[in-house]
Amino acid sequence: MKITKTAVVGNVESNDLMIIVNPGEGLTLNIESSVYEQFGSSIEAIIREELANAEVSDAHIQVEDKGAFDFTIRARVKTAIRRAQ
Amino acid sequence: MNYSKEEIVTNNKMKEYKEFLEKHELTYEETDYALGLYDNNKLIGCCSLTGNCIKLLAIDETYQGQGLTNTLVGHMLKKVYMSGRMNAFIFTKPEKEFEFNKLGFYTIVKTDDVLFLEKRSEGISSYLKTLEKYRVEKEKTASIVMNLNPFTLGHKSLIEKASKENNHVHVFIVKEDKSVFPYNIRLELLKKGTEEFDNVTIHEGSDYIVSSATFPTYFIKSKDEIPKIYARIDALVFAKYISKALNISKRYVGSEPLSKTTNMYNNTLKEVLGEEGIEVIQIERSESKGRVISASYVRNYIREGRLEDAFNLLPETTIDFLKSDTGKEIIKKIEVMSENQRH
Repeated sequence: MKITKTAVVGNVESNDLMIIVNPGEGLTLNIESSVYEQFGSSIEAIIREELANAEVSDAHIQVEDKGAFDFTIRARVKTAIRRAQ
Repeated sequence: MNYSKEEIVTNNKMKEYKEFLEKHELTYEETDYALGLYDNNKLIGCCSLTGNCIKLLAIDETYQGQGLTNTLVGHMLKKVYMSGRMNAFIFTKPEKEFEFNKLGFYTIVKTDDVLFLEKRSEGISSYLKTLEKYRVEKEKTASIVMNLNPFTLGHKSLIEKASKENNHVHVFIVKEDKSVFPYNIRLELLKKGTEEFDNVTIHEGSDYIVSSATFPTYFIKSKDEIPKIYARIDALVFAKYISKALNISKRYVGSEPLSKTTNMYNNTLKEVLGEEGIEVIQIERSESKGRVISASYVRNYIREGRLEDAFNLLPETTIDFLKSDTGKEIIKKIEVMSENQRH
């Protein structure tokens, strides 16, 4: 899937996250999280899995997480990718 | 909790908004976008945005603790990100540091009066990395920060003097769109006007060179102190970050015999940079026919239709531009400006 425009999805409120998808060459993923120490790697794994499922190979992705659950993360990533097409 | 978000424009909501700000010890300031949070038509929170700078955030006391700050700031961040910018900034009172750090903002610098924060944790460090490419390992490295509205003979002679007295000079242009000469034109005229100096590097404007024209003052109580307060924060970012990345040991400034504000700014700059081991060199303004050269005189002459007098203060490169079609448009714009529109 090709990312052609900017999409911003979600909120910076507790139990949610904001994801910003921008067009770019190669895949860059930057995660900031209030629970990064405990869950940073698992958040990253979930996001990478969703990106792979959607076959996104070129994009700049910024995530600001406030302790979102896995299913929230998946939903936000899916929506953001769809909106950025 | 179900409150409505509404943009505050110049309408009947304005009066309530200004009173709300006053109650929270904030001074109304014109912004690109102001958002109000309403509980059944009663204003309970607000937040504003100018460019990528978040301002004028306040929540009614009785509604605190519901995460409304997050709602408002999140709304503003979304707007910033949708505009394609990846970083947002806040200038506020120093006692707000804990609150904003918790919101995910990182402190850049803090003085007794101002806290300057950014959203990206790697924001200023990635900017410094781009600067370091231009680092020159020479003993005498100087710097000048300029607005250039527009580039005059005075600016040129200041750069020339610094260029002669040093091994290398870094010139920074202030990036803001409040000036009648737009940023890209100011930059272009600076580049053209300094081509002859081979030890001068021109740096594009950045969010970290704070402009006095766009520095938010809504949270400052003592308005007389603003030039000093602004100078302190500006000088501190320069001393702590920019000068280190570029190995800068001197900063040149032009004197402004007629402006108290500039004098206050220069004196504070000397004080703060001096403490950090950076020498501030104040150069007397160059004169043309007995009058000091100043960009504001140039704009005044243009407004009065005295183009020849304006040209006397300008280098060829700026004159050529003013004779072009885009230049003529700017001249027209200045001519219809009233006397009190300073920028």
